Amino acid sequence: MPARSLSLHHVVKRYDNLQPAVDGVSLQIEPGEFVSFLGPSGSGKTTTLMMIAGFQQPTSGDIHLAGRTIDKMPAHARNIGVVFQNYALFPHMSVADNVGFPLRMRGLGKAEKHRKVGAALEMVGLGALAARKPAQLSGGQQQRVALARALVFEPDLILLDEPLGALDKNMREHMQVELKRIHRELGVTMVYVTHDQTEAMTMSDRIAVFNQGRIEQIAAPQDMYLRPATRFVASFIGDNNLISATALGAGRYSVAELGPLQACDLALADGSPVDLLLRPEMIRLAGDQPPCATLRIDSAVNYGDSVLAIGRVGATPLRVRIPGPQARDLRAGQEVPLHWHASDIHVIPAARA
Amino acid sequence: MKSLKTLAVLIALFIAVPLFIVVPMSFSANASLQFPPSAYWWGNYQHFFSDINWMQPLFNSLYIGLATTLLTLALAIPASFALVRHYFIGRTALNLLLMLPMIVPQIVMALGYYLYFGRLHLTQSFTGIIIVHTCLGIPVATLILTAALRSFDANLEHAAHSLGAPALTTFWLVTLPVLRPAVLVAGLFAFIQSFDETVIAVFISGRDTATLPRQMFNSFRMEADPVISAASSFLFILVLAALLLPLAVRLTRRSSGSAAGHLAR
Amino acid sequence: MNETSSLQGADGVPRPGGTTAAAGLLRALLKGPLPLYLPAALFLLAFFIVPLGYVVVMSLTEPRPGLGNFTALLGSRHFLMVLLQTLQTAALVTVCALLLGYPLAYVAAGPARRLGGVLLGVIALSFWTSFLVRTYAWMVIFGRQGPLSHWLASLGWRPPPSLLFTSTGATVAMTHAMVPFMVMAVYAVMKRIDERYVRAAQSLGAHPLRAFALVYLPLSLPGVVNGCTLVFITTLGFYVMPVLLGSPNQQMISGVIGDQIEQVLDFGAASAMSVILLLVVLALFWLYHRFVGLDRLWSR
Repeated sequence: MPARSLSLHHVVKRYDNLQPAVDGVSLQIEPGEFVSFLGPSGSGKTTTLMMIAGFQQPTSGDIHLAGRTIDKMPAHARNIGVVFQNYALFPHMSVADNVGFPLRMRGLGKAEKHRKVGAALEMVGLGALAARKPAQLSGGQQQRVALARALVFEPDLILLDEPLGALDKNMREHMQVELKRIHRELGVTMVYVTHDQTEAMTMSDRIAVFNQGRIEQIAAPQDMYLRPATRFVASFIGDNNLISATALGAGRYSVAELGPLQACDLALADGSPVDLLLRPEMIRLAGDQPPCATLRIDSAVNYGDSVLAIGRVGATPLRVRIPGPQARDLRAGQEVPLHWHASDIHVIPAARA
Repeated sequence: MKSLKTLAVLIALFIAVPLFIVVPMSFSANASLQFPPSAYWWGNYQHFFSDINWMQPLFNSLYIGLATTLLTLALAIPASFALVRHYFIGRTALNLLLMLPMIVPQIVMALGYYLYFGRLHLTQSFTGIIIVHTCLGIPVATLILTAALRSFDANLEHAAHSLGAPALTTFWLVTLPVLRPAVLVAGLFAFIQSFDETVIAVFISGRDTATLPRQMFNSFRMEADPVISAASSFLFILVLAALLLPLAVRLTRRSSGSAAGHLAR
Repeated sequence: MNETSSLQGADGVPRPGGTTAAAGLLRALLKGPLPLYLPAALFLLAFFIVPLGYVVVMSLTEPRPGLGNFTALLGSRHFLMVLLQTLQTAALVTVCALLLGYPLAYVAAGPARRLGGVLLGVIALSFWTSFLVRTYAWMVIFGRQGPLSHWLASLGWRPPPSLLFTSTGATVAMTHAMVPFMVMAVYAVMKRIDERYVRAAQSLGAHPLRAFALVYLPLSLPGVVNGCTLVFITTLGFYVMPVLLGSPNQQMISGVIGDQIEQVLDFGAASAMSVILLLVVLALFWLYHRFVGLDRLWSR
């Protein structure tokens, strides 16, 4: 299957004179990449997807697929496969007719159509159900049919709009693996819209985090987790401690009621406001190392493999995740010394108001 | 899409324009059906609202409509509960029976009632017409009520039970209030069904119990009484006002609370 | 109020006071759905089924017992013409109402919210306006001094024709009256068609017209079937408009039945005609019922 690049340049979508739904989105997706659009509802991720698919027109900006502009192209001429939320399988057609629909639109012969439909259904493991109607399938099976239909015509790009949202947790994890396998086997470029951060983290080559119509950051999952560019990204992905602080220079930061903290030096002007991100799992019990702070535990939540201790250092609330055996004895009311490395603290320059 | 919208607007004009013709006609000073009228006056309305031959039927229709509405709801509400909440032998037959008055042509029923009520001495009586209109109101009321009951979340009742409310209390405090919009709509349909029904009323209601539609129908057939234009216009404006009222309320609310409206988006 | 209580009543647990089996059964029935539906059922049996039965009995007994009324009617050229005319008119009204109603419902169910609201408002206005008011409006329009005649005269048609008291006029008025029914039936189904189906078809390469023909149209068919059945059956039994607007020489069946009651006083013939009309309507309803059964397969 061909792998194509996709690029968006300053794409804006405005409905009324209100806040634009999409506010200047630019991004470049490489051939064969799996990119997730992650964000809360109303952040513009689905609108962006609908503009790529051609169901909505950008107010300004342009979209290129494989180097050609597709802004003026009607949806049916774009050759982009879309897997819709709730699948949009045609209820009056059989599974085979659904999957064969794009081939019929492209005027393929009967024999070739039959062969390709068979191959696509085989690929998603539904070869035996070709004659069924969509209503006779389970949610997971419908999902697979929708996928087969979106890839059977060898599209330049596949867009998936929260495709796993309607499935239960087990089915969802199973389908995540399936999707990745299909992506690997076909090598097709995929854009995946989701509001589930775990889904985005486990599946994507890169994640684009949307907020209020803009992309806050686009990066590989691990980079995004360790070095979020904004406070929003830091709080949206993973569990976190975000502490407001002021730069003192030379990698030192002052936190109200906690005193100075050492972290990496961003060469910020003295007095600049920053947010310090300290992931709960980066913090350890001090043991024989010099303690950085003392946590007064308000509550301890046991997850079996770890304990999440929620408490305060001075007046600053802090969440600490302690793995394994050493956590068993943690109780509310205890005071425990904590230790972390200066390099574990990620510094985010605070946005100017 | 653009030409399609134009087509839709043209069709809507074909629907709307003939209706609005009745308004200028009601002010016509001509005795004949001349349009546009050569002169205008209020006289038709004065006649309509002062003539006992028109006011009597109007009040008859209101009385019959209200009685029909109450009787229809009293019969249709419990029947709808039986249809939706219970499985019993003959349920399908009951459903069919309740829908039948909607299917049978009214002229057939007019003949049936003409013969039957003649024997029961119910022709030319309010009771007779109220009974007939209740029969006609039951199907539509049942349709509305069963649809609402099917989408009723039974967990609301379970919650009330678990919170200590016995069956009847639950019905009064939870079930009925939740269903109130559907009950009101069902009642409205029953009322309008009765208020509009012409065919059977023409055959079985007498002079003293004449309904407004019967009076209008006979007026059309016998003489071209210009007062009919005022009656038509009056009924039309009533519907128009009923439809525009919610819109007007919403518009005034929106203009006064536009900031809140923006935030809500 | 619910199934469990009726089951508990039915399971025959002995109660203090030594109730007999018959009393237990009565109790079970009273706890079940019977008291809920019995009043409505008895009411309709007494005041709907019995008068309907009167018509059937009358058709078979008046003036003499037997099928005489039916053989006379089915041998009468005049009656067969009336029946045929009625069916033709109903079919014509149905087709016209569909041609006008479908595009209107399509736009109303589409993405243009404000226009859709206005269109539905117009439909509701017409729907709720009394048939008699609409009849009056058409009397004015078709009248000898009405706007239509004015307009035709200004085009040079002299003397201008009047459509009042012609079957064409009655057909136009009935179509006008039936479009709201059609729109409501079709719109109800169209509104439930997920726009994603058409989008999916387009993303899979279907031109918008083809996406409409292959996806939207078949999905809206249940509404078309509903609307056509509703309009056809209603028009078959239409009385007010054909009698007040139509031609006295080309009556529809309801008008003929009305004449038999009021003027000819031939209740045997009127009853037999009514039974025939009823049978036609019931047959159509039965066909429709089978169609609806099929439609259920499509809905999730």
